[in-house]
Amino acid sequence: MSGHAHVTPVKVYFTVYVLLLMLLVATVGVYFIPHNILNPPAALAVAMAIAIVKAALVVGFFMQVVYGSKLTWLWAAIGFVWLSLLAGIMIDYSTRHMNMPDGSAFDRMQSQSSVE
Amino acid sequence: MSIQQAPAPDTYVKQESEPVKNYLNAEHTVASWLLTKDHKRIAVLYLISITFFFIIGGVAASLIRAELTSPHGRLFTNDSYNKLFSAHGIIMVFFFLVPSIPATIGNFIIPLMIGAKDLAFPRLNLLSWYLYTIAGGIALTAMIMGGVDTGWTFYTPYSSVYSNGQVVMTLIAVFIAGFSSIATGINFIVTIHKMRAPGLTWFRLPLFIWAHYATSVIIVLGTPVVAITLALVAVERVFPIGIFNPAQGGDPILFQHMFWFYSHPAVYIMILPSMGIISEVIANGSRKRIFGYELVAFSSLAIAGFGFLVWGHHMFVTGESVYLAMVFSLISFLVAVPSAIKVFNWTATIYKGNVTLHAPMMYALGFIGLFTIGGLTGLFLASLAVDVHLNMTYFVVAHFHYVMVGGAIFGFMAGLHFWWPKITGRLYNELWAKIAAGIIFLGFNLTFFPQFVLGYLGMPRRYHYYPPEFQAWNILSTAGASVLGVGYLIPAVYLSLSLIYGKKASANPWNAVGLEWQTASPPPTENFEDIPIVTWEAYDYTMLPDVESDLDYSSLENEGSVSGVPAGGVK
Amino acid sequence: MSVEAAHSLHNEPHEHEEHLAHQFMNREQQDESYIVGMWSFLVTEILFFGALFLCYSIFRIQYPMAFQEGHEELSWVYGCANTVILLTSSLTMVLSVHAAQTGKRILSAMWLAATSVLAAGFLVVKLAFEWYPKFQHHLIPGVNFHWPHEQFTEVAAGKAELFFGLYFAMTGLHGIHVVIGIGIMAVLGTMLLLNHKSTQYYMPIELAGLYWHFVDIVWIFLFPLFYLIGKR
Ligand code: HEM
Ligand SMILES: [Cu+2]
Repeated sequence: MSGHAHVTPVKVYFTVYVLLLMLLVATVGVYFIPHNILNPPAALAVAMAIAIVKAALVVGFFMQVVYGSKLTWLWAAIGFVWLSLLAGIMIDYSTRHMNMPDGSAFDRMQSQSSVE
Repeated sequence: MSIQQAPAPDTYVKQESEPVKNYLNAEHTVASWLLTKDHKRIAVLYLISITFFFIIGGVAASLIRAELTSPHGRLFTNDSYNKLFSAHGIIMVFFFLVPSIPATIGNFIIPLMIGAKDLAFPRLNLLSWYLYTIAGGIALTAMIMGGVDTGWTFYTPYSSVYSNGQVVMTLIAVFIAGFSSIATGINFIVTIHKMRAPGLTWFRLPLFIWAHYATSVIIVLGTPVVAITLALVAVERVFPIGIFNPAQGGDPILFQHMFWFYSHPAVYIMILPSMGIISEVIANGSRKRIFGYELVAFSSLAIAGFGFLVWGHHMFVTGESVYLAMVFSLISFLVAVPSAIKVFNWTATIYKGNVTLHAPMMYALGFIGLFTIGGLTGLFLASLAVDVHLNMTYFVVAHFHYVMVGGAIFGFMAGLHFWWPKITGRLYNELWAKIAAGIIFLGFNLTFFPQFVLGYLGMPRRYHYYPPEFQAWNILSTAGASVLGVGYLIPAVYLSLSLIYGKKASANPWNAVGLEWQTASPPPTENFEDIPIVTWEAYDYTMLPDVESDLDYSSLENEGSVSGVPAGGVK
Repeated sequence: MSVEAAHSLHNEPHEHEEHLAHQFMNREQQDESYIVGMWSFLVTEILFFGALFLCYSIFRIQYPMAFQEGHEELSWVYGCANTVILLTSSLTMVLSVHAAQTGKRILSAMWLAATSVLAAGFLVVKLAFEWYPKFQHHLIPGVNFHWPHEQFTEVAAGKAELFFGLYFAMTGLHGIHVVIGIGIMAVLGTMLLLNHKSTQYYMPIELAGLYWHFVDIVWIFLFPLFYLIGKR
């Protein structure tokens, strides 16, 4: 039972694990920062940034992509790149209100959501 | 240049005297077929299954055309008519066109073309066929139990809230079929990356391989999105989670976005493999290297990439953002460029080529003409103002049948004939094949050209009542459909007959270059006696005389080659 | 017949290479094929979940209030506990792969067992402490949904239902992946203990690991998006 695999030292795994836990604490910490200090969109941005770092750690070290071949890099990256294309759908939602020159469609949407 | 490591000539001589083991006669039990991991046998299984679905879809089409001979809808109720065209679309798109070329011809030929013993994951390949079969079974069951009337596009909220019928079951079927094609896609990607024979660099690959690579990338990147989208529709029918339901604050247009994010690229899943076949056939039929090989190769990748940026052209009139619509329109025009590159390069290849009009070549020429019409009318539809008039009319129907039938299926027929001797080891009747190709071409145009006119005049799609003044065009179209139907029956007959009465094919009946022609017809289970080492480019027809002097093909060439092809090749 | 022929072609000694499937020429080719194959499968998974994240984003931007109010019904403590559980299970998973790579068969099986126990723990927290109370609180769309907050109109209640629809769809799909993961680990662990031929080679465990880390990554995003929505 052996292979030509890249064998990562266990120490690396534990380090990554501790980092992940620390980032988890950071995420929860951000949630508790009062909103007059960090407004909600900014808090969301920070939380997402932390999540991306965490995901990168997992992909890079646990999934061994940093030691992988170019081809592995390519296929590991392409999914995330294509996801951003899919996110292009959101452009529709951010510009749809401009369908009416006077922005009336936008007003309708606004009045609907302000019912909440 | 010469072909190294080619099988020794006496291999073929042996084949004449005593039956050599090949993938067909290696084993005979039913289990040896149903549990096979041989890509060639799986391809044959797939070929049988998709033919079955093609027949069912074709029957539905005939019924639609029969209904439309009268403006008053005399044969079917409104409800049955809706179910009929839905069944036709769902079967033809998800159970015929998407798997048609990749899972049959691609499955069979790709390992042979790249000098591999099999695909990278043979078991995954078998799984793909089983998923497809299960999905097909579920879809048919759903149709027998009442069917769906949503159209193949399953637009919400009609499909998710209001439609009665077996929507959930049909969605499950399409979902599973999606995973079957994902399995094929993953297999091809890895195979093309990792399994190429020594010396077979990317720029020595046949264009068929490039096309299938691009197709597989689209499958892997697009199919999961439609799978989850359709799954959400199915979930919404059971639990009102409301994502696509405006009454709950959801957005039906989001469904269309996610559906077309896959389904526009999916039209390239259907056409790209066909384009790959056309490249092979044209190179062989003109006995020349494809003009601008690199451009044609890259245009496949460009189509795969750009194809993901135009989905919104199906939604111009839905209320999507007009600014986004403008961008989609523009990119749709751009995506026509790589398609046009291919068309120009094929014609440039034929120009001053040593052209042989064998049956595959006739289909290829048909493809070029019909795909051009289909693609150009796509540009009409991609123009914002024109689409306001044309969307949801028969013009759209004619457009996509020109690309899907005139394009994808013509390519499929070309490939089926071209590799038939390789797959079955038998030659089909070339004369009948040419007659059938002619009939199909005529019947096709007679069927679908009138639909452009109808659509332009304003006949909407998906209705079986129409103003009486449209009747003449509709009858013309139905007449064409009958001719087309006959055209498809002829190959069914002579191809089946060739299995029993056809002459034995030599290893290389078309006198073609390409690794798949260097092994016996039909190939042995392991494909090659020895793994070939490649030192030449694809379509290097200049090397054929060399081959002749190295190896004595001629003893078989005269008997085993298809009439019309000059035996021995051309300098 | 041709098997022998092909094998004798190259001077590489494949016959001596163990665990080499017939279609491959050598181990490097086979290893990388598996890794790239698994990654292209994960690409499909990324887009599969990605489409749901897209739905989430679109509606969160449109209905921030509904999301804010809906999230109050979720407990960040359970979410956080589950994150810790999953992160730890990712650690045990890499340790299992590491053991397999270095030829420690039993140890590898033990780490796999630990991973599946953690995964099961995740499901227990999810189902017993989160989903079941939601049922009691009438928060399951379509089954018994009732939005208690009186100041809300019917439209707003629909949007809250949308929030919970997304919550159940996304965590549900993730949960299905966890269940599948447990199944895979159970099978592989048993095979390891029986010293089955396929697991004498570390690749199956490595591939299971890739899958499991992906499941972890999905949760890394689900946690802040559902449990940590700030007040406006
Ligand atoms: C030159 C490239 C192409 C362009 C610019 C193009 C453009 C369009 C546009 C704008 C529509 C929407 C029409 C409407 O609903 O109002 C459309 C529909 C369609 N196209 Fe194309 N197209 C192209 C190539 C293809 C190809 C190659 C295929 C298939 C092999 C295809 C299959 C379809 C199908 C199936 C529909 C109708 C979908 C439906 O509503 O049921 N198109 N095309
Ligand atoms: Cu399109």
